[in-house]
Order: sequence, then structure tokens, then C-alpha cells
Amino acid sequence: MFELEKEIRKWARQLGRGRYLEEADIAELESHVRDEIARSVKDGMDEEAAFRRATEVPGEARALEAEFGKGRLISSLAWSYLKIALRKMRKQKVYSIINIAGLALGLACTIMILFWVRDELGYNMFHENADRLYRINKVYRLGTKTESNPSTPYPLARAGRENIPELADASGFFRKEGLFKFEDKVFFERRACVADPSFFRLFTFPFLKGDPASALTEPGSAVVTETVAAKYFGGGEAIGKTLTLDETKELRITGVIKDIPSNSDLRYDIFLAAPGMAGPDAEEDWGSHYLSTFVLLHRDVDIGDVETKLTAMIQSRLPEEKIALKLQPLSKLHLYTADGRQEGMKYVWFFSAIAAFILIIACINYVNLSTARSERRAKEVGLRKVVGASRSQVARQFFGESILLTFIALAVAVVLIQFLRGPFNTLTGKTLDLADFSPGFVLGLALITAFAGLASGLYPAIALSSFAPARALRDGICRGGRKASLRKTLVVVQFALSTMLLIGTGIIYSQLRYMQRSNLGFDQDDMLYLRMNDKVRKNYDAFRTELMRNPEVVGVARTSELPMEIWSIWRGVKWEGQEAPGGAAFGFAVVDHDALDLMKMTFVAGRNFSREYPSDESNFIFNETAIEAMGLRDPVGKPFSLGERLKGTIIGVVKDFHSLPLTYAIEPVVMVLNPAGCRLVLIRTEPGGRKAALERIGAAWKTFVPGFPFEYRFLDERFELNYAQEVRAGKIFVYFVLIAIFISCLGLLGLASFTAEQKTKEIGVRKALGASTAGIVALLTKQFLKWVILSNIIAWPVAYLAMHSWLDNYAYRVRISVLVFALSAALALAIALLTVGYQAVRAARANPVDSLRYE
Amino acid sequence: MVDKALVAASAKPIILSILIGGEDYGYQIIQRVKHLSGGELEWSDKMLYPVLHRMEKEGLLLSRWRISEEGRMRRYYAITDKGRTELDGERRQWRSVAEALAELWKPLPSLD
Repeated sequence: MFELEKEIRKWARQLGRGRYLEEADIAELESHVRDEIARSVKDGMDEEAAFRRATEVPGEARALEAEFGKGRLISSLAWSYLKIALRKMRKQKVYSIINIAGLALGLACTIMILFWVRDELGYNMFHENADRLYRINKVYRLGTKTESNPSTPYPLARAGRENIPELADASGFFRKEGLFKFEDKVFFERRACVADPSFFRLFTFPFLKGDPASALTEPGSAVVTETVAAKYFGGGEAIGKTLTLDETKELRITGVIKDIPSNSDLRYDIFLAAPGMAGPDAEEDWGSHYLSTFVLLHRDVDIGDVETKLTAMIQSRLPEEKIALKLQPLSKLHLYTADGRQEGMKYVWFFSAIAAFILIIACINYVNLSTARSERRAKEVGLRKVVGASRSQVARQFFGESILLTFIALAVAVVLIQFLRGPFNTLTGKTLDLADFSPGFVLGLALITAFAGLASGLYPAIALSSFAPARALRDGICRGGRKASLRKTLVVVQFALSTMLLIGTGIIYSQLRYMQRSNLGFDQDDMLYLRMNDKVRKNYDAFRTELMRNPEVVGVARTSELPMEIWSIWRGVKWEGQEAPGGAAFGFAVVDHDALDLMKMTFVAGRNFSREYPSDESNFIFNETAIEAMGLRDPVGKPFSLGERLKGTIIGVVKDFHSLPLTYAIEPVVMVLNPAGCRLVLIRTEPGGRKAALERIGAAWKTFVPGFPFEYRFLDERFELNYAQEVRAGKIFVYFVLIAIFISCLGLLGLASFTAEQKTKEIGVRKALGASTAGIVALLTKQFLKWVILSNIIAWPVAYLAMHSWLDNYAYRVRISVLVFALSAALALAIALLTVGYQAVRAARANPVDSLRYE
Repeated sequence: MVDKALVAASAKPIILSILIGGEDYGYQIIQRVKHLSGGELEWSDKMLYPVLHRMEKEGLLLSRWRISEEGRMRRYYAITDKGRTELDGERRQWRSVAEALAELWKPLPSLD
């Protein structure tokens, strides 16, 4: 028997399937069909035939449909999905907040890290000719090792410019410190530099006043940054004014440039014209290497050719030394060392990895939380399918939801960044500002966000859309073994990532601590240093006596170098039986009689320089590495000479000390006595007496050199400065790791509640049968325990390999201790248990009646 | 039977012209068109409703649900001011096409 009403309803249901039709549209079509049927019936047709006729689609009409029905109604349906998504978010506030907070935090971190990475990669690239600029690095043999550094001789730039046609231009420059004076304004400037006239033709530092091409041509001319100009000349005109350097040299200002951008490795404030500033014989001095030399290549030049020509040039001048010259592109200046090590690049890799980890963790969170919520949505999905939604429609809806959520998270992330910007900038020394993000970067962010949305929506979309409507509606529950195992995998991955980050933090932290606490071979505590000017140098004895009158001052001495930064090198050190022709290069320091005692260096043989031996000025003290390098046995008393002038005997050997930062191995060091050749005063104060001592020393300084700024620094601060980059990176790392772990805890919380929810009835039954709360908590946490153990098995080897390669950058490094791994695992476990435990206890405490009474 | 491109092109002016005489619902519009064309133009429901919806979105029509005499819900469409302006434009265009064709199809003057 034909039932018209039933048939019409069936037809209407089919209408909605696979098509974007709103209920209103279906209602309209239904009303149309009813009119059609009513007319046919009036014309004498029976109901069934009338229905067939009204609903059948003739062939011609089908073609018309294709013509008219294109791309319609998508937006209105999307609107309804949006409304549903927003309604869901309002209804499940806690879940939504956890979800959005986790994603937003993840995105904010990713954006900040990407900003950092972009800034690091973009260093120095603002120069117009950045792609054709190269630094000349010198490669030479030091003892048994090959060393690279960027120190080159003064004539190199000019010789290169004149003799190598591939070079469009070349420029050499070196750092200069000094006391600059204009009228009553006197400052000690550390960031001055002596540069040849080509400097501003190679590098793009925009001039506010003056001509870049000729600013440094005339002897005695100088270019300053706008900040420096304001410091000395106030608001007045700077061009034509005269600065006095070290009370002797007159410098005429010929140009004012914009301040150097923060992403430049060339950071000078004052540029002095090389003509007239370098020594009289600098033009012919190929032996002293103290300049950085950069070259600008013509287009399409073979770099190998240029290197060969440069090497041939320096070898013709210094035939005894096996020096090769290599070119380092400007783009690699910031992140790579002269010998190509990934000095800064390792951090770029590290932080990129963290960004990826955090994003993955945040996405996994979303997946876990949405599937945890899926039970509550089973009925919704079931109903949608019953009224005719196709699987792809449901999937699309969930994709839409997750993308919507990620973009909300992005908005929150942007707000979050506004708050975190301050601390981030202080921590990293960068100036993160959302306002100067380029369109490309913003597009990239949008892409990352959309990707995160798609990636995190993928699994929920597939899982939820696969619900069988009948079961979903009947049980309100859908679960499948396959889905659950994927979820478990995700948690294990997430936990493995967190554990890796924890291990990484542990090892970085212990390496930093090791570097800061390791025995340097001298005592740097409570030591400060001053730079002597001519007046202090001449009246040193009186100055010392004056200082020693203060009870807070323990000792005073002079040196040429700081003990932990003996960068000066004596090249061509020769000894009997030496194999390498041309000699070796030793670290070289000049000291006075008191210096080694003041630094508390340990003598393993012989004695210190002494006033009782007037001939000590031509004697030598070595470190152990030097003695070993020379292969000397019983060195004390043996004759030794440095060059033609210094001939004497070896009088002492000190225990090895870290004469260079800990990224470097200890090198051979030779020390000679020459009090007049020192430029630094080292002062040791009473422990805890820093402040009082400083006041006294400052007062003494003022009476000796009035008008000369009192500038000092403590050795330990200076030492920390050497590791500033490491310490800074370590801190950034720790913060981001904490955030990553926090985010994964959010996910775990969601998952724990999911498990508890899933097992509500089981828990109810167990409790009704007499299980204890503790037993149920154990039941719920047991599987998390398994996951944490599994994730540790994955994390340990990966973390070990990664950290091993990181530590390779340090000549002196901590041993990778099992303790770090064990602690990280324990910590991860503790965090997991705390997070999960809360949910477990809550579930276990619930009254079984509540969970069982439905049945 | 009318070519489908022509049906597509003429749908808008026909609908507007029908509705200028007062609001109407989909089924009735189809019947009117069929009647007017002497059965030559037979629109299907699945063609008409998308056109109506699109025209409503463009602001040419306005729809509302009303209860008919038989007590059923029907969606009635009415022309808007924008729709009237649109119809004026359409009318000019169709008139010029029709005039051009009429001129061309005039019987040829006899040669005698």
C-alpha cells in the first residue's frame, strides 16, 4: 500500500544527502512537490503516480539543474557550522579554554621562535651587496692543528684591490679603543674602528649627512652614528666639528650615519679614516695581522679562483708561513665560525626543533582533547547522519571547527605575544615587534596556523565522521580499537618529545654550570681590571702604593692580557728539534712581577719572575701545554728565545689554565716580564669588599687622572660575558621547554578525563563490588605509566645523539650522565602522575550510583 | 522546446516580470511560465529554486514564509526596488534584441 506521507518524507531525506541544502530549502521543495501532487490528483491521477511524476527528474531538467545549481549554499551551511562550533565552545568552556590556551601558547611560542630564527638568519643581509660580500679568513697551522681566524695584514685589502681583477672592491678595518673628547664631553669608546676609504662603498650604512664614497678619504676624518653625534654635539651640527682622540689626534667629522641596525655583526659607533691612523709602516707590514678584510666580488666570479689568487699573494709576501686565505660569505658570517663550525647555527637548529616540537605537542593536544570530547558529540554526529549528512560533510564540519579554533588561538597568540614581548626581548636581546612583520611572514603564519588546524583536525574529522549513526544514537558511545591505539601513539610521541626536551635542558644546564664553575687555573673572584692611560702608566708605582693603602685592596699588578682571554699570539716560535718550518704560534702575554701571584697561578716547576733577578726581563714562563708542545724535559734552566731580541732562559712552568673561553682547547702560552709593556691593572679586593674597594679605587683614579672616566670591570663578570650567548640560549631553551611541558600536561589532562569518562561504568561496577579508591586510581594510572616508560625508551637514544652533537661544540664538556636521563624520566613521570592522578582520584571517588543508575 | 542557454538567459527577466504583478511562490511561478509560453517553457523545480535563492541573495527579491489557504507553509517571493531597476535594464536589452530580430525577419519587399 502506497503511503504518500511516508514516501514524501523519505524523498526529502534523500534530497539533503550529499548536497548542501538547508532545512528551509528542503521545506520549500517539499511544498512544491505537494502542490504538484495535489494538482495531478485533481486531474484524476492516483497518489502514487502523482508522486512519481512530481519527484522524477526528466533528462532535460537535469541539464538545467547543472546550469543553475552550481556552487551554491556552501556559505550558508558553513554559517550554521560556525554557529554550532561557537555554541559548542560556549557550552564546554573548560575544554575550549584548555584547547585554545594550549594551541595559543604553542602558536605564540612558535611565532616567537620563528621570529628569532628569522632574525638570526637575516643577520647582515641588509647590505645592498650582501650576496657578493665575503670576509677573508686566514687558515694556518698551529702546532699540530689547523686554525682559522679572520685576522689579516693591513696591506691585504689594497693589494687585493689592485692585483686581483675579480675583486670589485676590498676594505680592511680594525677595532680601536680610546678616549674621545669634545669640549667638556669625554668618553671612553670601545666600539670605534679604523677603516680604509672603501669601507662605506662595501657596506650599506645609510648616511644622514656626508658622502659615503669620500667620507674616510682624508687623513683625520671620522664618521659617527647619530647617537654618538648627539652624545658629543647635542642637537648641533656634527659635520666639521673636531673630536680629540687620546688627547693627541684631531678628528674632523665628515659624516653621520644612521645607528647600526641590531642585526649587524659590524657594530661600531665611530669610524676613523685609516690614512693617518695606522702606523707609518703599516702599508708594508704583512707580518702583523690585526685587521678584518672584506671583499666585494664581481658577479659570477669563481670563488675558488679568488681564494687561490689571494693565497698566492700572501704566500709571496710571507713565504715561511703556510697561510691559505679563504672566503666566508657574508650570509654565513653570523652563524658560522671562520673554520665553518656552526657556532650560532646550532642554536638555529635547536630552536627550530623546539618550535616544531611545541607545535606538534599543541596539535596532539587538540587531537586528544577533541577525541576525548567525541563521546559527547556522538549523538550529534549520529543525528546529522540520520538526517542525511554524508561522511565527508561531517568530516568537513570538524575540519572547519579545528581551523576556526586554531585561528581563534592565533588571535589569542597575537595578544599573548604582546604580553610576552617584553620578557622575550630582554631575554633574547632582539626587538620583536609584530608591527614590522613582512607580508610574507604573516602569510607564513597564516599557513602554519591553517596547517596546524588541518593537522589537528584530521584525526578527529576522520574518527568522528566514521561513527555509525545507529550505534551512536543508541549507545551514545563509539569506540574502536584502532582509534584508541592511534591516540595512545600520539600520547607516547608527545611524551617522548617532552622527555627529550627535559633531557636537553638538563644537559645544557649542566654544561653551562660546568663552564661557569670549572677550575680555570687561576682565581678570578674579587678581581677587577682597569685600562691604564699614559699618565697612570707613568705613575704606576705611586698609583699602586695609593691603592695598597686601602685595607679592601689585597693586591695590584699589571698585565697585557686578561688571563682568560689571551688572544695575542706570538707567531714563529722556534725551538731546538722543532719539525714544523716557520715555527709555531703561542699565546703571548706580558706581565709584571706581581701578576702571576695575584692571579694565584700554580707553579709546577721553577719560580715566578722576581725583582731579585734583574735579568728576568729576558726570561720566560710557559704553561704545561707549551712545554708539552715543545717536547721539553726538565725545561727549567734551558735556554730559549723569542725572535731576535728576546733571548734568555726558561725559569718557570705554570699549571695549565684556561687562557681562552671553554669552547677552545688550552693552547701553549708564553709569558714574559715587561712591566712597561702592560696596559691593564689587575686589582684583587677583599672578599665581600667590592663596593668599598671600588669607591677607594675610583677616588684614587680621580686624583691621578682627573677628567678621565673611571672604567672598570670585574673578571667574573667579564668571564660570564664570554658565555653570554650560551647562557642566554640556555635560558631561552629552558623557558620554552617549560611551556612545551605545560602544554603537553594540558593534553594529558584531557586524555585522563577521557579515560575516566570511558570507564565510568567499569569504575561504578568495581566500586559496587567493593574495590577501594586506591585500587581504582592504580587501575587508571597504570596505563599512563606504561606510556611514559615507552616514550622514555624512544626519547633516550634520540636525546643522547642530539646532545652529544651539541656538546661537540665545546672543547671542555660535561660527561653525559645517566642521572640526567633518569631525572628527566622521573620528572616526566611525576608530572604525568600528578596530572592524571587528579582525574583518577576524582573518578574513583565518584558515587557508583551516579554512573550505574541509567541501566 | 527552448534551448537551455536561452532558458538560462531569460529566467531572470521572466521571474522579475511575473513578480512585478505581486508576490508569488515557486510552484505557481512555474505554472505561470508554462501557461504563458503555451507549454514551450517548462521549468523544473530544481532549476527555479536556485535561481530564486541567488536573486534573493543579490537583493532583487525578498522571500517570506506564509501559510496558504490549505494551511501549508509556502515561501512567497516579492520583487524589491533593486529588482525593479534590474528589470528596467533587462527590458531595454531584450527590447533591442527583439527589435533587431524583428527588423531582420521582416518579409522581404517583393521584386515585382
